[in-house]
Amino acid sequence: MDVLHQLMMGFQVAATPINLLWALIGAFVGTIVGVLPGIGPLGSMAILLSFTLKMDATTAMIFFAGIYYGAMYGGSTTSILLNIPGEAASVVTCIDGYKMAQKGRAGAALTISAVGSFVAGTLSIIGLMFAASILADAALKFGPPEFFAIGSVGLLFLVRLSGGSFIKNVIMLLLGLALATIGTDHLYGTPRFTFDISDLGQGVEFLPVAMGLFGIAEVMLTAVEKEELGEMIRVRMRDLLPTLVEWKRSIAPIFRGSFLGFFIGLLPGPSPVISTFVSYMIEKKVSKHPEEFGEGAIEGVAGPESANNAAVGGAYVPLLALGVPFTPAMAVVVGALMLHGITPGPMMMTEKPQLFWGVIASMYIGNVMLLVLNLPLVQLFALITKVPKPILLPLITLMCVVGVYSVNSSYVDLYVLALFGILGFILRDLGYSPAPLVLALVIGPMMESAMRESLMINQGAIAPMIFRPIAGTIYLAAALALIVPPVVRAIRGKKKPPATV
Amino acid sequence: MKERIVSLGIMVFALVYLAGSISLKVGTRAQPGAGLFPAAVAFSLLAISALHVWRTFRRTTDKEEGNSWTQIAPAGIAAALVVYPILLKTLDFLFSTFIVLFVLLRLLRFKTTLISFLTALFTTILSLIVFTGLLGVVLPSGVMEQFILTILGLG
Repeated sequence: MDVLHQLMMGFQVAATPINLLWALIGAFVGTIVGVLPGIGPLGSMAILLSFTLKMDATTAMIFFAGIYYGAMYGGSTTSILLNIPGEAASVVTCIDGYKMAQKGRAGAALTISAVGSFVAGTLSIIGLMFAASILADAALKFGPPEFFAIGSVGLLFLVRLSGGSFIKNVIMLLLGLALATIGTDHLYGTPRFTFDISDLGQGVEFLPVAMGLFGIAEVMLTAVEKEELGEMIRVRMRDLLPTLVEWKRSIAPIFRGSFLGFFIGLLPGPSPVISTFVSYMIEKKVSKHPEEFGEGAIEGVAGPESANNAAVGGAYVPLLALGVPFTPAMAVVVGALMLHGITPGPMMMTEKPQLFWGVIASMYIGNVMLLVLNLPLVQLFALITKVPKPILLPLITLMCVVGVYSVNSSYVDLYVLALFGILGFILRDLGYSPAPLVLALVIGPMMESAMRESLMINQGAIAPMIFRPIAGTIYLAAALALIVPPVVRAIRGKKKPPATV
Repeated sequence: MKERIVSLGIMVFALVYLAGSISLKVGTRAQPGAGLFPAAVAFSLLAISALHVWRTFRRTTDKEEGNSWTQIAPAGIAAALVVYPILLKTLDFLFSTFIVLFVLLRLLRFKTTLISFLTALFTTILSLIVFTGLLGVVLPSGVMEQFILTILGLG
C-alpha cells in the first residue's frame, strides 16, 4: 500500500506541466539521438548535462529518463527501415527487422517493436519500483566494507562484460581509478597530482572527461568513417498494423525479453546491448520456426527490442538504491544529480521521495508519450539520418564545448575536454572501451573512502573486510558468477567427443 | 606500430604515476595515508601495462589497426578544440565560435565557402541566442554579444 501511495505522490510530481514538457522533450530528443547513428544516449546525455543546471533536480532526472528510453525506441527505426542501427542496442534488430521491411512488413516490425518496448518499459518500471525499495532498505545496513565490495565487484563485472580485450578493459579501469585520485585528499587535505592548478583541487570533473571520450571522440571517429546510406523503405500509416499471426507470435517474446532485459540490466556493463543478443539467442532456441531467423522472423524483433528497454529500468536499480552507477549512462545521471548537490544512495528514497518517485512515475508517462510519438512520426524520424555529416559534426562539437564551459566557466575544463577528446579518439580507434574509465572515475572516490575507512575500522586487518556476512556474500556470488561458467564450459568441452571429419 | 606506441605511453604514465603516488604519504594499513590507494592503483597499472607492452611487441604482424590519425578531419577537429579556449579568452564567444565553426565546416567540405560562411554565422548567432538568451548560460561576451542580445530584447 505504501508503495502505491508513494507512486501516486510521484505521479503528482511528474504530472506538473513543466515536468510533462521536459519528459516530452527528453523522449523526443532521445528518439532523435537513437535514430542518428553514432550519437548514442550516453553522448547526448553528457552533452545536455550542463543544460540541466537551471532545472529542478527532479525535472533534470525526468528529462534524462526520457532521453534514455527514447534512444532505445528510436534506435529500432533506422535498424528496420535502413539496416543501420541508431545505437548499439539496436544492432540485433537489423537482422530480422530489415528483412521484414524488405518483404513489405516494415510497418508491422515497427509497431511490434514500439509495443514491445512499451510493455517492457512498463514491466521494468514495476520491477525497478519494488527492487529499488527492497535494495535501498537492505543498503541502510551497509558499512564501508560492503560499499567497497559493491564497487570492486561492479567494476570487475564491467571489465568482464564490456566486450573486447580484457587487458585493455582493465587498463582503462585503472586509468579511471588513477584519474579519480587527482584532487585534494578528503581525509588529510593533501593535494594530489594537482600541479598547483587550483581548478584541479576539486578533482578532474566528470563532465569534460565523459564528453571528450564519448562526444568529441565520436565526432572525430565519425569524421573519418565513410558510410553510405541505403535506400530508405517507406511506410504508410495503414501498413503499421501487424496481422493476428504476427501479434500471437510476438506476445511470448515480448514478455520473455522484458524479464530477461530487466535482470541483465541489474548487471554492470552495457546491459541493453547484451540483453538484445541474449534475447535473440533464446528466441531462436525456443522458436517453432528457427529457420525463419535471419529471414524476417517477428520474434527476432519483438524479443530484443523488449529486452533493451527493460534493461534501462534494471540499470536504474543499483543507482537509485545504492548510489552506484553500473553503466556509463547511469554515471552521467549521477553527474547530473551531483550538479544539483544530490548524492544518490539508499537514503535518497526517504530523504528525496519526490525525486525518487517522481522519476519513476515519469517513466510510465514517458513510455506512453513514446508510443504515441514514435508510430505516427516514424517516417520523420527516419529522415533525420539524412542530415549531412559536415553540418552535424560541427554542431555536436559546439554543443560539447559550450556545455562543458557553462558548468564552471572554466578554461581548464575546455582543455580537459580537448585532451580526452583526442585521447578518446586514439584509444577507441585501437579498441579500448571508454566505459570502464568513466565508471571508475565516478565510483573511484567512493571506493577509496570505503577502503580506507574499512582498514581504519579494522586496524589494518583485511580479513574482517572480506568475511563480513553481506560483503562476503557479495564476493562469493561474484566469484561463483565469474568462475562457474568457464569451468562448466571446460568440463562440457572435455566430455564432447571429437568431431568426425 | 600504433598499438606499441600507445601501450608504451600507458606504461610510462604508470611509472610516473607510481613515482607521484610514493612521494605522497602512503601510511600504514591501520592508518592509510593519501598515497595508499594511488600506489595500489599505480602498481596494478604498471603490472598490467607491462604485460600489455610485452604482448604488443611479441606480435609480429605489420598490419596497421584502426584509422589513420593524421587524416585532415580528426586532426583539424583536435586542433580546433585546443585553439578554441585561447580564442574564447581573447575574442569572446561570437568571433571565436564563428571562426572555429567556419574552419570545421570547411575541413569537412560542407558545400561552398560562402555557404559555410553563412552557416557558421547563422549558427553562432543562433547558439548565442539559445544558450545565453534563453538558457541563461554565462559565456564570455563583449560589445557584439551585448548588442545582439539587446536588439532581440534578451539582454
